[in-house]
Amino acid sequence: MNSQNNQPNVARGSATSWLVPLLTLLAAVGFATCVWMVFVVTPVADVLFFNQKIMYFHVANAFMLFLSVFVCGFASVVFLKKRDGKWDDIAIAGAELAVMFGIVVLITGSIWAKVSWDVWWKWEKRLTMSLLLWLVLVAYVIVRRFAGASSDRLAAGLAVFGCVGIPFIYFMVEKSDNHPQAGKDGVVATLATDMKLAFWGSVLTFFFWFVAMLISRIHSARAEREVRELRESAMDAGVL
Amino acid sequence: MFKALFVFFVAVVPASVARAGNGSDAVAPSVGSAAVAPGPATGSAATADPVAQGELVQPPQAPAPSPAELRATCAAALNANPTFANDLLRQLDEKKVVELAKAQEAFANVQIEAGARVAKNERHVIMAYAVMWIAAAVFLLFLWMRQRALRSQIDGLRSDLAAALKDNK
Repeated sequence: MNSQNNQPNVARGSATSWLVPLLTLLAAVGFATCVWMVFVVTPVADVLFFNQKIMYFHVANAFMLFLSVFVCGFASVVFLKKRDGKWDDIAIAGAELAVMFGIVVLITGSIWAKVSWDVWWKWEKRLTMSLLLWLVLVAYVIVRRFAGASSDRLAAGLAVFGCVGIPFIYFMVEKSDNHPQAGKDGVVATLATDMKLAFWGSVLTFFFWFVAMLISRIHSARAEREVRELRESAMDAGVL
Repeated sequence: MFKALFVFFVAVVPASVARAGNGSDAVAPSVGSAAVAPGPATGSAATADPVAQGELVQPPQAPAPSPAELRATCAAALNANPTFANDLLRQLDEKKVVELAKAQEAFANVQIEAGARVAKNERHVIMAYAVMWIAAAVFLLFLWMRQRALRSQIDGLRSDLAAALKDNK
C-alpha cells in the first residue's frame, strides 16, 4: 500500500464534495421552513398542548436513528461477507450517526415524558428497547475505538445485533403502555393536514441532514484509513 | 334562625297547645324534666312540693303536632312576618352568590393552571429543540476537527514519504 494507491481516496472524496454543501443547504432551508410551520402554521394540540410540537423533531430524529442503525447493520453484513474496507467506513459512519440521533431521541423523549407523564423516564417497553439499541451502538463505537486491529469484525457483529432490534422497537409501540401509538390509528396517521405537512417536511429535512452527515463521516473514515495506510507505508520506508 | 324555629316548635307550640287543651295555667316543662305543675318557674329550686301540698298533678299529655300542622304553623309565622321571610330569601341568595363566586374562582384557577402548563410546555419545547441543535452542532464540530487533524496528518506523512523516496533515489 503506497501513497499512490491512497490518492484516489481523496479524489473520490472531493468528487462528491459538492453533494454535502447542497444537502446541508437543503437541510438548513428545511429547518427554517419546519420551525416556521411548527410554531406558526400548525395549531396547538388539544390534549398535549404546546409540548406536542416536540413530536415533529423527536419522531423525525427517531426515524433517522432507525435509518442510521439500518445503514450500519447492512454495511456490516456486506463487510463481513466481502471484507471490503469501504463498507466498514459506511458502517462506522452509520454507527456514529446513530449514537448522535439516539442522544437526541432519548433526551427529547425524556423532556416530552416530563411534561406529559410528569416523569423524566419510565421503564416502559419501547423506551427501554430504544435505550438498549442506543447502548449497542455506543458499544460498537467504543469497540471500534479501543479494541484494536480486529475490532471491525467484532463491531460488525454488534451492528447486526442492533439492526435486528429495530423492528422490535417499531412494533413494540403497539404493545406499549404509555408511548403514543404508531400505525394506521397512530399519532402520525391521525394528524391534521397542516401538522402532517410539517411532520413529513421535518422528516425530509432530517433525511437531507442525515445524508450530508453520513457522506462527511464516510470521507472522514476514509481519511482515517488513509492515515493508517500511509503510516504502514512510512514504516516500510523507514520514515517512522 | 332555624335553631330559633326549632325551639319555637318544640317548646313553645306544644306548651301553648297543652295550655289550651287543659284549660289550666300548667306550663310545659323543659325537655327531659319531670312535669310538675303549677309552678312559677320550670326547674326552679323554689318550686313548692306538690306532694306536700296534697295535690299531685299528672303531666299534660300534649298530642304531638303532625308535620302538616307544623308546616302550616311555620307558613303562618312566615306570612305573618314578611321581614322574616325576606331574611330567609336573602340568606339563600347570599349562599348562592358565595357558591357562584367559589365556582368562578375555581374556574379561574383552572385557567391559571392551564396557562402555567402551556408556559411550562414552552420551556420544555425550547429545551428539546436546544438539545437537538446542540447535538447537531457538536457533531459538526467533531467532524470538522477530526477532518482537519486527519488532513494535516495525511499531508505530513505524504511529505515525509516523498522526502524519504527522494533520498533513496
